[in-house]
Amino acid sequence: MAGSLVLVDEFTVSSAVANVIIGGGSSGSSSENFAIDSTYDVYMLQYNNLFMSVDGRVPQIRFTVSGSADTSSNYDNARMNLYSNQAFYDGANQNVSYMPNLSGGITSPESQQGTIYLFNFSNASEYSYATLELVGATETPEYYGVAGGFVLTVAQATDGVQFYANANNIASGEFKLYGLNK
Amino acid sequence: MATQEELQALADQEIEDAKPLYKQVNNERLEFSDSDYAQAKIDLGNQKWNDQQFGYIEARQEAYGSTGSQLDMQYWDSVNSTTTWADHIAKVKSDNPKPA
Repeated sequence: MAGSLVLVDEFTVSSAVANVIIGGGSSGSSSENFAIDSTYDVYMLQYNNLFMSVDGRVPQIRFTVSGSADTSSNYDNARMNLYSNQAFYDGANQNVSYMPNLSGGITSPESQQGTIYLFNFSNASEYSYATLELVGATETPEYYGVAGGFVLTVAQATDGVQFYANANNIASGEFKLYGLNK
Repeated sequence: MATQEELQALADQEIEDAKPLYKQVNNERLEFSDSDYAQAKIDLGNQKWNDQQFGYIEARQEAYGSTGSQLDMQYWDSVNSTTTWADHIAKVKSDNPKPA
């Protein structure tokens, strides 16, 4: 049925790892070996209960090309950070090597969860871009939300999404990738 | 302010101290390869450099507060002949200095 979500890849971090790839074919973290392709025009990545192994570490996001993270400084982003304990902040960066994120924690409720829509990934002649909405908590706790988007300004096909800890590890988290049925 | 080389050395040490790091590939938990460790060091070094060189911009923007709250400060400064807003801006700048 058009508009329905079809689960194409999922992975749960049960032992701490420094990075996770959803999609990415055989380089992906799960045994699904799914690579984002033209089967669906739009994909949705949902992640929940993401905890870091060290307080204050940041789960950052990149796209993958043939299963390997594109580490180039070609990512642009814009975002609004909504804090419970301070004024909202709208920021943007150009030519950075990842999508900036807010820090996570190690114990409940310091987890992060979000929804990322992925566009144009399989189109080799267009940029890959994504919209992002997430909520989370850090120490104290201080609650936050982020709404924004980011784009990899290289005309190439991308086939997955990498989450990586800026240092140390991602302790746990659940990741699910859906295709949006045409 | 640290040089880029000094920050990269800190990042290298931080990754060395964090070893072993693992990645999950095809449902297998594998230790980072040499190239993975090298990339992690570059990533962390770049982030430290960016934080030092450009982090003050975001830190200042966050600390300035909303336009509305700044206008409120300016209004009450004009009513009370105080310098609350100017003092606030000066403090934000001094708390988040621009790298030399």
